[in-house]
Amino acid sequence: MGYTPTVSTPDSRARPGREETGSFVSVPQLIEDLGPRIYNVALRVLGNTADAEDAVQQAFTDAVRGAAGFRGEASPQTWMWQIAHHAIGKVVRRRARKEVQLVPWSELGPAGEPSASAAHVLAPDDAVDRARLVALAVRCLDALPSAEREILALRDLEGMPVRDVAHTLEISVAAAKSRIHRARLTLKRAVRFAATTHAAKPNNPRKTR
Amino acid sequence: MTLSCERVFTLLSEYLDGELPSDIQAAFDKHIGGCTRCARFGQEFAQVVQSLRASERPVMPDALRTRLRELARSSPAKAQTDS
Repeated sequence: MGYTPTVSTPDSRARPGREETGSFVSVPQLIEDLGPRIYNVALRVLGNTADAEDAVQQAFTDAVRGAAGFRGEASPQTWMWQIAHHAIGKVVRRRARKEVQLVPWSELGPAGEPSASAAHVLAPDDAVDRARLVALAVRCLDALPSAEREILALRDLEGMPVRDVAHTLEISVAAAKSRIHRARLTLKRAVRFAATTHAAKPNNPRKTR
Repeated sequence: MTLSCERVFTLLSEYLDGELPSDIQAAFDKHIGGCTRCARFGQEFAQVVQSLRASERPVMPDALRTRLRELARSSPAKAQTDS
């Protein structure tokens, strides 16, 4: 059964006119506007293209089914992101993916002083270092629990405003801010740990700098 | 207004997102200016978030785009059947 979103958070963006089908929403337009962005989030949360494609296709299938019932309580974009959130969650649950964490982040305790090498990785001073940090951040993001991957993908990969993140996940703005902050802190800790581990390897040239 | 290190820690994301009220932001800046530990933590925090924002976006496969466009042309009843 498809997800039929109930939106209680109207926003001020312009409402589209009613489509010929009787719906207020144009799914073809949403595919063009949001398809690649939803695919990006799905891929980041699910970790492989096959599952991401399944989730995106399910989301737009649900949108086609639900479009006739859309009454414009929220913007079509918010409505579509909510459907995508549920479709991605459905794949996560179906797959019952075991969350693989490279490091038990919660058991690391308070971060201590970084080594000089780790501090360098976390404070890049040239383009090469920045590229390394980007790769490290993405790798560590992939190791976070799916809920944290999703909220960071929405906020920091897609640049979605906090308010829209809250609407998509159907939580309060305060809760969204809190979750975003916690997820970022977890990611930072993961990157710090990975940078330290990487820096400690004997063949890492950073160690000798 | 003064902020403790613990309070600065909790406000990092809102600071980075430019969502702090001006008086709290001023207090945040003042604290960071005088606290090396928080300044370094905040800098690393910002670097990680900015790195994520700078990462490459995957390209949606053309085949998927085609399937979605076909899906959108179908009726809700057909979408129900196809899924």
